[in-house]
Amino acid sequence: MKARGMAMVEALVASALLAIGLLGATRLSTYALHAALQTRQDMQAHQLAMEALDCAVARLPTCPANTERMLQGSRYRLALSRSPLDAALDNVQVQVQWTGADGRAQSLQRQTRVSVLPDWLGLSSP
Amino acid sequence: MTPALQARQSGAATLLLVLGLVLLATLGSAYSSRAVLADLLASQGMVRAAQARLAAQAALATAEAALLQPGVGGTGQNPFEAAQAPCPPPLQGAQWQCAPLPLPQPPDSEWRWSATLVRDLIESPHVWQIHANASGKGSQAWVRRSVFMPVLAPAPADAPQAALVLNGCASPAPGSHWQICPSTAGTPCSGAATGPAVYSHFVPDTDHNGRIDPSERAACLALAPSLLPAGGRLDSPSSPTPRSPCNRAAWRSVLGDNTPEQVRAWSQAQERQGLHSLSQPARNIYWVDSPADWTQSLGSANQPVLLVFSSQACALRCPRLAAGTTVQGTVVLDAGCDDEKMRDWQAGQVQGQLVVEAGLPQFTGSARLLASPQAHQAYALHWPTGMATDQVQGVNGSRLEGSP
Repeated sequence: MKARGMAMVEALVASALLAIGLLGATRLSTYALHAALQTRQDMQAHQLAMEALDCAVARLPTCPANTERMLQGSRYRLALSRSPLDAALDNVQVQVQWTGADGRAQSLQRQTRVSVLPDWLGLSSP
Repeated sequence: MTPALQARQSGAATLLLVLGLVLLATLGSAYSSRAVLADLLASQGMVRAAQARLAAQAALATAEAALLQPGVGGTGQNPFEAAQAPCPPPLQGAQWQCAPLPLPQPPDSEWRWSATLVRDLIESPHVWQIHANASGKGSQAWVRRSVFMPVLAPAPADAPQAALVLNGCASPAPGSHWQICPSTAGTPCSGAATGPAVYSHFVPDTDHNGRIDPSERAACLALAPSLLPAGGRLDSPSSPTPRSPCNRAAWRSVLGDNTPEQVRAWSQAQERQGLHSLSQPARNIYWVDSPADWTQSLGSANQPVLLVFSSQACALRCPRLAAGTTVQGTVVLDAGCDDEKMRDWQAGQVQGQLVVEAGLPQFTGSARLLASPQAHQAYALHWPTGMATDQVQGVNGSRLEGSP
């Protein structure tokens, strides 16, 4: 009777240990999964911002000021804006907004500058 | 074994098993977390590199805007005259001139900017490379681009090809032994002439009939056949043009819209860089303010020079080229349409073109002028056809990213 009681206590301790260990491992995995998802979203937002700025730097006429993109289940809103720094220089800024894995609103900003230097569009070898 | 001992051992075995399982689960989670952490760090590195590239682009744009300011590149506002900077590693040698371009640092930014200007003083002093750099947050990025700067003008495509270009009349002194030879198909100064021997922008319209007659041209360019061993035409405009005030017709026909200040600045830049007649590559632009006679041979068939005697050098009378001196290229004498500054002028040998902003009365000695198609090579810079050369413009396709 006493030995059976001892085995029961050990089984309970073992179960508690297993529960704590598995809970910790699960939380760690959940955190890693969440971090991976967030990193992926951050990188996608960053990539979209870089594309928008590259378009602005290349001075293409088709760069949209505001746009939305759906990538791997996440919706990203882009807003491209220009503000003159002087007569020959503009600051170009892009803001990307999306909903994060935890349901909270996320945003990212990138900026660079573009001059009004005209390009000679003919053939030029130097 | 008693039942009590058996139960205790069974409990210990269960504990060990559970501990092993917990350890396995922990290890598995740790490994997956480590992979996620590595991805996170790599992503952050990529983001920092991309941000550095954006900052370098911003620095490049700021430098371009600085070059677009009115007057930049002109006298007193040329960044190459203000300071020197070490040239990026592949661009070594005296022909490469490098200068820092001061940029205002961005407010509230973790990035530091810098820009260096680079140009080739021999081949393309009018094409400036902007090397922009941004560093910060453990990252660094470079962007570069070339721009056309209106610090020099194109040479006219229809420049006279004659051995002697004048803005006045020419006549030999008794006993002079000049040879004036046009471009020829074969051996220099023999064979069939392929261009004019002499071109004068100013021939007096003595009979005031509004045109230059052959007799007027022959009277102005009084050159006996012995002075022209390979023949060649004596050319001038068919209608008279006033020369006073000095119209600088000879200069403009050969050097186009290049101003004396621009040519002087180019020459001084080459001198400051340590280029000289024996350097590699050799100096090819010489601006002379001294009235002393010139005694140094310059240039070669492959590397012709431009030798300009300024209006200051010609203040009283233009310097002579000493006998035995050979200049391969173009020699310009800025005599300001004053024939007296060229009276009794003498020279050695000019293989290319002699340009005189006046007449050449009573030239003397034993000079030899040989026209050469390569005469204009020293200052005939590459400009794209049809381009407005008085504006700062980007060179299409010259933008590059990466290490300098």
